[in-house]
Amino acid sequence: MDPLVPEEPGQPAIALCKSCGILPVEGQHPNPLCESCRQKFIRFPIPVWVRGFGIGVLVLVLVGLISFPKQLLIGIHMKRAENAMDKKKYLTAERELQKVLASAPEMKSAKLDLLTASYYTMDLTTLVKMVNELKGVSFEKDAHFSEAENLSTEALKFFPSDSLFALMQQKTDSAKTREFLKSYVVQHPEESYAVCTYVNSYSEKESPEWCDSMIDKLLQTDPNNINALIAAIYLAREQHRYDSALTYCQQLLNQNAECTYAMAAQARIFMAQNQITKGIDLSKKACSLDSTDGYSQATLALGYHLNNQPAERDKLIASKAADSTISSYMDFVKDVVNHKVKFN
Amino acid sequence: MIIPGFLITLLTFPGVIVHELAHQLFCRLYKVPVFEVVYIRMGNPAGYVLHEKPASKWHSIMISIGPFFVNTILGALIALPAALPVYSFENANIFHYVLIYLGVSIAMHAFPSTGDAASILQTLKDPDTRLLTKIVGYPLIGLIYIGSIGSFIWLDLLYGIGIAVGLPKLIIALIA
Repeated sequence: MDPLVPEEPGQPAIALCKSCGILPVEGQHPNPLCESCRQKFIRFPIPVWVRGFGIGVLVLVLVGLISFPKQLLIGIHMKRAENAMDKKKYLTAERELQKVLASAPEMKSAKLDLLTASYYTMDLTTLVKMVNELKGVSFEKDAHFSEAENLSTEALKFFPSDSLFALMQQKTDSAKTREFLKSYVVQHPEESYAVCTYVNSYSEKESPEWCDSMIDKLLQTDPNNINALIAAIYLAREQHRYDSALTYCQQLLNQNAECTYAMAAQARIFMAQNQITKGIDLSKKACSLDSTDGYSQATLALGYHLNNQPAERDKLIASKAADSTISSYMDFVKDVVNHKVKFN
Repeated sequence: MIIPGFLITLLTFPGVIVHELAHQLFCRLYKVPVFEVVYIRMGNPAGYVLHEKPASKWHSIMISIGPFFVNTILGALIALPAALPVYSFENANIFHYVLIYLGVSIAMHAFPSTGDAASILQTLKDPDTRLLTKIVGYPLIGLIYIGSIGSFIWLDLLYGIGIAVGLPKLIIALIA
């Protein structure tokens, strides 16, 4: 095809479209095309099979995107849990992980993290549940796994040994049980549950030195023994060794920055030292972290009482009256209010 | 590990198709006539688009690098709903794996080819090319060649996986 055709004899030739050879070339372009052919080439057809492929991909994307908000939410909760665990905020981590597992119940890594978190929050129901669910499950042997594996062994300290459990079942009288427990502790000073249970029922009538020595032994073996630290706080407070008690509280908080027991215990120590406002602030912080924690709620009520805020105290006690786990802690506050016991 | 190019083309054919389609769509966007499109074939290159040389140098560059944007965005979008179940949640099903395969194979073909780099080079060699275009264009050619060399060590695949996995994680990190 000759694209150059003279318009009239003697006139300069008009360039014709290279494609159709009929219409004149339009514009200054590298390829001499008429406007119609240029538009045709600009809109070069996309084959049906490519269009079909594109539609197929788009359908898959749309179907996938329907589930994306849920997946994103799980991812956000998981990330928040990871961030919380990095900062040793195990209460937050546990809550976030519970949300993750509610949507993705088969997620092994979340269960592993929940095992760790529930150990530090001492949520024994969840801890036992996770240990049982992860039995026999294979994992990549990383640091994460090693920590959880180690904690699942450490968690045994939260429970009585089989022999102690069997023996305790036989005892019904509390005075005899205490006597029996003491003899058991003498024979098994390494058994954390037995020692801590005995020490936590310590009364002023007894000599504290022996209890101190038993707890010291446990803490020498494992300075992070949570039960032993709690017992140590109790013993130190009972003996008005407030600095020691605060140090033990801090040791708990170093393990779990959101240990509400340690915060509330610190608050009670400050209150006992007549730093009532500081104690109230700290107990408010503990309550805001866990509104279901009876010890923190009772500490706040105690703070209101010591700060001459009876209306707030009574309102708080009344609001928790329906919750039996919290109201049992409030009984101590009521006893302080009614001068049955002295808070110090 | 060296895998023959035709096998990679075969395994990741959705990415090749989208790559060539992206060139074509950018030509359409800039009103550049297209004379031939091969979306996929068992040869080197695995696909190509024959088009008129654009009047604008920028259009020329954009047509060459268009697949980088299209393949990256599309690959990320496709993998987005599947990346978390596959890589984080351990609750993935076959549908999620199909999406990940599509997403990764499309994203890994985002890199412009050496043919695309040659096309940009030809444009830049024109005596009327402005300095700014050259300043942008020459490093771009360098990057394309680095990407091409990098494909020997699976840089393209790593990029694909990075887009498919990294983007959802980035979104979560920003929101959480």
